[in-house]
Amino acid sequence: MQFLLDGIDSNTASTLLGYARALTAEENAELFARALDRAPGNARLALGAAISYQPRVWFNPELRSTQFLVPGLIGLILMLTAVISTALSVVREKERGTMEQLRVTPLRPLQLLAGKTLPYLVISLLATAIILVSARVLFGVVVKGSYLDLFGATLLFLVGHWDWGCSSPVRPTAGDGVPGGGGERDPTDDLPLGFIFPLRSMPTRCRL
Amino acid sequence: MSYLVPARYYLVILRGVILKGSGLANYPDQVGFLAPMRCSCSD
Repeated sequence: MQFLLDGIDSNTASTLLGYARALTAEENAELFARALDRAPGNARLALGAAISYQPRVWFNPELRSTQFLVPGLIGLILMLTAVISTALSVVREKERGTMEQLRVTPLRPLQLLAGKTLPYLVISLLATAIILVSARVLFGVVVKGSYLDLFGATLLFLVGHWDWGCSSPVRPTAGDGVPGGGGERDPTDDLPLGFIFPLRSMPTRCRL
Repeated sequence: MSYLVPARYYLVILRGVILKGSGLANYPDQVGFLAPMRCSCSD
C-alpha cells in the first residue's frame, strides 16, 4: 500500500505518517491473525506482513521544517522592510510637514508616489534575491519553480500590499510599527498569515 | 481580517513556486486576489 503525502508542511505530514503507520500495523495484525488460523502448522512460519507500508513524501522527503519556514521568512522580511519602510517614508513626510513642500513642486501625485515606492521596489527585489541565495547556501532550499514566476508574484505582492495600505481607512503615524513609537506591532499579528505556522493547524478563530 | 492581507495569498504562491515547482497559473485564486489590488492602485 502506498501513501502519498504533501511534505511541505512537515508537522502535518509527520502526524499523517504516524496515523498511516498505525493503521497499516493494525490491519496487518488482523490479517496475520486470520491467516494464522487458516494456515496449516508448517506453513505458519512462512507468513509475513500482508500489507507492505511504503510512504512517499512529496516535495520534502526529509520532512525538514526549514523548507516551510524559509518561504515564510521571505514574506515576513519583505513585509517588514519593503511595505512598512515605504509607508513610514510617506507618513514621515506628512508628519514633518515636508509633504506640503513636495506638493507645491511641479511633481504630480503619481510621480511623487512612484518616487517613494520605486526605490523600495528595487531594494525589495534585491532583498528577495539575497534571501534566496542565503536560503540555498545556508539551508539548502532550492527554488524548484521558475524565477520569473517567483519575482512576478513578489512584484504583485509588493504592489498589492502598497495599494492595500493606500486604500486602508486607518491613517497611521510614524510611531506605528516602530518599537517605542507608541503603536508597536504585535508579532503575533502576523501569525495567522501562515508565515511560521501552517494555517490549517490553527484554530478556526485564529485563521480569520 | 487575514483574508484581506495580501501576504496570506503571496505565501501560498511562494511555497508552491519554491517547493513544488509550480507556476503562477496553478494559483488563479491567489493571483486573482493580488491582481485586482494592483489594478485599483492606478485609479
